[in-house]
Amino acid sequence: MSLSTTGTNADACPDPDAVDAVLDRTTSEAAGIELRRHVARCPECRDRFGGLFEIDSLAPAIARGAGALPRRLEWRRPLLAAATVAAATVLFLSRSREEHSTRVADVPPPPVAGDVAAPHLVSSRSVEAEFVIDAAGIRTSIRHAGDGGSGSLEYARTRSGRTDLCWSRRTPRPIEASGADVDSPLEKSR
Amino acid sequence: MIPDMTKEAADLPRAEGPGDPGRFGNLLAQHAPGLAAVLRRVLKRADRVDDALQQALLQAWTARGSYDATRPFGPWLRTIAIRVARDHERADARRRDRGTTTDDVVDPAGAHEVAAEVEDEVARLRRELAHLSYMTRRVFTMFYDEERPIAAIAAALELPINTVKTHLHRARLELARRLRDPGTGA
Repeated sequence: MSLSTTGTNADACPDPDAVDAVLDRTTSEAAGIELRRHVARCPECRDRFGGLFEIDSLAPAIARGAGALPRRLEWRRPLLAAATVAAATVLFLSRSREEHSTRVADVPPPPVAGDVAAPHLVSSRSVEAEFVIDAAGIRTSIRHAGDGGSGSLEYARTRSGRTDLCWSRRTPRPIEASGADVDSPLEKSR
Repeated sequence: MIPDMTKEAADLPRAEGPGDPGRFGNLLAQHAPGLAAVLRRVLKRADRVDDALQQALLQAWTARGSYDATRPFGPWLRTIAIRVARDHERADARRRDRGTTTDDVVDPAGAHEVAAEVEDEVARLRRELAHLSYMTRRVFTMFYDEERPIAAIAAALELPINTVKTHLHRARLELARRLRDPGTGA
């Protein structure tokens, strides 16, 4: 018996489920060999399923050593993001404190609305941070509100390794009677 | 008449050792469709695939003594197939140039180059595998490297059997796509 040079298709072409069953080794060995012989000889099936059988043939070599791959997506990204947030927060606070110390004398005393002062803003400093991981990389946004005013820091690290850092500080504004800095989402939520 | 190696392989009694003819024949039968597919991609003429497949299987059978059973079979067989396909291409070119018919001549040089090409291809697909989800990679590795059946993988990972099948199907489909179109990686 010889392989047909015309790729005879006398026996019926298998459907994708049957091919999957053979590739999954859930059929009998004899049925698997019959289907493989058909795919090897049938031009239509070669075109349709050939790539899957190529992968099946190479898979043990591909999989060898691949089991040691870490759960990259599951743990590395959050860890990196947390480290980024921590670094950015430290940077932000150090700069903010520096500016605050030089300007604190110029900052007017807390305003008074009626007889009620803004109690929680006099000595408090709040930081709100968020970070976003997407296909472009990691972006961190930190907003700060305190008695010296408010500011924000945008930090982005792209997949190519480039780091963009954008710092902005708003000048102190007159604080509303409620004591909330309108630029600070954190304060607004209070 | 050239024997149908896939049929012969299937008819051979199953034997025990990795180097025995029965085991080797079963391996050939198992890998024949993948072999035909790579020949189809390398050869310009679709009608040459059957001849080249026959020759590749015959060469593999003849060279079975040189196969190192500790290494994966697929890349070894693929190396033979690609060399056979290129020999066919060269022979076709010579016929066109000279207007004569000559027997296909196997180029003894280039075996190492083709083997290196196949190794590179496998390494690239391994990198592509790394782009798939952890669970898909885990299932793929347990199935193909650890040679565990699907039911055992499902039990070990506490997943439904159909979910394991879906992961396997997804991995094969994605790797096949990236094998065909190397530039489409994530």
